[in-house]
Amino acid sequence: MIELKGLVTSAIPQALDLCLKLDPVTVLRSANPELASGVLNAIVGLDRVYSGRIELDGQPLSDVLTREALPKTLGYVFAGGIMLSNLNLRENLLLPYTLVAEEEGFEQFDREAAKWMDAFQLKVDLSLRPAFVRVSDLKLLSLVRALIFNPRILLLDDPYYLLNQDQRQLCYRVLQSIKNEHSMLISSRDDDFCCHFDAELVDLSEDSSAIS
Amino acid sequence: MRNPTEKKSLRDFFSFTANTIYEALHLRGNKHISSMVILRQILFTGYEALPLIGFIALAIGALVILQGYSLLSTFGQGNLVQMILVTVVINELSAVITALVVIARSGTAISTELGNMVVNGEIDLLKSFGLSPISYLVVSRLYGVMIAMVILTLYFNVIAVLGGWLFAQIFSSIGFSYFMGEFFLQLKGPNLLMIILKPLVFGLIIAFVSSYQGMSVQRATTEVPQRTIKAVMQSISLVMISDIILTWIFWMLTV
Repeated sequence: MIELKGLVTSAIPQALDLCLKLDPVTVLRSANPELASGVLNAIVGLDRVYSGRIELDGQPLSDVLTREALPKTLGYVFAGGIMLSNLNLRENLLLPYTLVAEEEGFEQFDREAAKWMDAFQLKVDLSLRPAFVRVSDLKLLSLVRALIFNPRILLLDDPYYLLNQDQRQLCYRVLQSIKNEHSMLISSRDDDFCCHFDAELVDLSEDSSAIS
Repeated sequence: MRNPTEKKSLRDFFSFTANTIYEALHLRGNKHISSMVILRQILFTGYEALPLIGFIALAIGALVILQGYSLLSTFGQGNLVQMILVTVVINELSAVITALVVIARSGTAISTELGNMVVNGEIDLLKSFGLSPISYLVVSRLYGVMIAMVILTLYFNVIAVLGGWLFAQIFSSIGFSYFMGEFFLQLKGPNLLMIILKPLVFGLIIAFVSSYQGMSVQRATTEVPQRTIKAVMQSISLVMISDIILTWIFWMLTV
């Protein structure tokens, strides 16, 4: 469970109080998509927090993250499927691994990467730089990158963005299949997630007060 | 998403500086500093600049000898040309010219690369992994550029001295061992100190200023060239100011 208490960030101008149960999936929807994305960004620590705090299972999130590596706690997938342009795809997938390698060992990386690439039917040469790969494949690879760590909570910002119809169906199926293993917080306005995903829906209204 | 109306303030500059210093001094156990980024920076800033630096050094060494010899020989002091080489090239020109080349190649590249990374959200990506962008991108580049600057300056000096000896043959047949012997006689402790100190300081300035300007880009790609221009202007100014200060310290040490 993630609780936001009086949270104000650069993307959330008015104090926001939210209790996100993540049992196992919560979907955030807002008329202004930046607001729902802003909640995810605030949780991962991307936006400057002006006031308020974030708690994970009753403990300040910052305290939890001093004990656990961030990629193993929160697996964040950006809407744009961002990759570092100066690294090849394999280096991109490996990069967060440098933080947890001592615990896990690098040999597990190839196994996990292959497993999730199969799940998303990705056939991409990992030695390529991101500029040479389709953005929809990069988006799916960014999902793979997050899932490799088996994170406690998967944060998905607009999962369908950049994907074609087939990839959307595939993405939906994979997320459906893993939703009992991973808590998920999804920012989306797609009906697939808001209506058919069997998830708690939190609608962030204009005045930033949450209505479930 | 970052608020586009948020401006970079003096507080951001001091925060960036303090974070960079803190993380640069905590190398041990810092998994965020990437040896791969350091090596790539040395490769790009140092190794790939060797031909250009070599050409400039050869030309400078030759020109200093040509000008120095023609000037000194009118007073019958042509044998003091090595002193000119040490004073002009080793003490001053090598580090400054190398710094200018590094600003033109690597300073602009660092500023542009980091600026584009900000625009593309790659800095946020690093943060989402729990990786410190300051350690991973800035501190790693700081060390890379400083090491490359020292290597390039030493290389510049070697080529300039060899070039000087080669061109000195035009005026008189000076033996290599005699030329180098006279050259090393002119080279004192403080000279050697400056050969190392100046490139380290210049490298620090170039990498820090370029990184700061690159990381100061907010949202628009049009900001990237603007920040790169600022990085170049500020790097050149600060390199020249620090050169004056270091030369003054050098002068105090030798007087």
